[in-house]
Amino acid sequence: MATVALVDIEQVVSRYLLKYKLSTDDYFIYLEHACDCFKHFRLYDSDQVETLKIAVSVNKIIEMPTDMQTFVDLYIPLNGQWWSFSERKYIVNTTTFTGLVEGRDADAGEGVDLTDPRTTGYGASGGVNDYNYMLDWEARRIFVDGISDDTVVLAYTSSGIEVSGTTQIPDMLIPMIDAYLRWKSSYWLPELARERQLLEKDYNNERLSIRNLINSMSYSQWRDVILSGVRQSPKR
Amino acid sequence: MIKEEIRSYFINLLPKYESIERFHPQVVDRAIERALAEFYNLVFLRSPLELQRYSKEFGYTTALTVSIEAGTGIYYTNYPTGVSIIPFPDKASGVRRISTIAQGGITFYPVDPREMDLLAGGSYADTVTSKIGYCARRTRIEYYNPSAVVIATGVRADLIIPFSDYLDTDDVMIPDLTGNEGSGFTDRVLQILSAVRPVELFENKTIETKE
Repeated sequence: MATVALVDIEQVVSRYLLKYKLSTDDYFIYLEHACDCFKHFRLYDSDQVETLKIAVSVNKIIEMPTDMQTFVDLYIPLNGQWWSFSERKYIVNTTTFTGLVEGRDADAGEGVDLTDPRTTGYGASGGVNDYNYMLDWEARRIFVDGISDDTVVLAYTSSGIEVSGTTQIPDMLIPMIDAYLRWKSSYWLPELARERQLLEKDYNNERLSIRNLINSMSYSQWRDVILSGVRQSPKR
Repeated sequence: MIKEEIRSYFINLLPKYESIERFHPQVVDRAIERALAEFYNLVFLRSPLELQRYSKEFGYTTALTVSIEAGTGIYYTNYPTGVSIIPFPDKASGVRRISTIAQGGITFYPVDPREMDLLAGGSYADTVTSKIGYCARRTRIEYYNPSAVVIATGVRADLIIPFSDYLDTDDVMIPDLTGNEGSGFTDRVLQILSAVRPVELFENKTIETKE
């Protein structure tokens, strides 16, 4: 058994201090930057998403989770797989209050089911999705169509920084975080100021390595792509 | 060498203009203390990590207590009775290391008061870490984010303390630094003491008084 694949972010920082013979003086500063680096990774490079079962209200509204940074997808289960909603920018996203109770006024087009001319679904040309959503970032709500008073699954990105429990990061990110800390510390360590551009380049190289690792396809994946697109016949 | 040997060494090195004792031991102690603080600072300039070797350990057999100040809610540990620290420019100052009683991974990191306020004012560190910050103040060590276990069990501390705060039987670590002209710690102490001029005596050993 080798070392574990997930490590505490605090451990990443203390190992960084050890490797570069640094004093413990700036531990908390390095920790802040390590969190920033991990957050950037989650936003821009990672394929890790949060998956959350979430309620759709009778008003066809989903309240975005407080830690949701970017939207990835919205699903319902269908035959053992996720069926993805489609984005429709013009779903009506207003609501109407009756006293203190929030509701939807159909006369104003609120919550009315979309009616699209369609054939039989995605299998035929011209098919449209039965399930749709509209993102309202200002209100931090998702207005949906095709489902209400039910549960769906929301996929989204978060910062990855846990407010309760331990923040753990993939061990493979350590060289990238080290390079990030080295680069950022050049802003307050005078001896590194002249090397700032080199250090930034180091970080970018490490970042590209990680992106390559995450996004490159394995032999099996390539084989599946090729075999699924060709007619198989006996080799002569 | 232990403290009283160091003191004795210097008293015996001092020139004796007469057979009577010229220097009070306290004066010699203060001169050594001053020179020692200078040498510690030279070590710091060379590498702050080296300072750990010149610290004295406290709380190893009986833990130093972590208390709470009722008015401010600040958790703190007073320096042991009769002990202060030599200040250094970094955040750890004269408190080079704080540990839990049962030694495990590192738990305490030095912070300054400004950093302590900023951390508590909204930071990732305030959310993700169980690590504890410590701030070396004039008479005590203050803590940021101390855990219940640490509050209950107390801490150990490695301090850089002035020469006069050592016990006579304590080993005192002296940096063996030598300047370009070959002068070292001994020369520096003697140089400090040489500022005290010898008292002029009459031949009958009485002190001359000005009319």
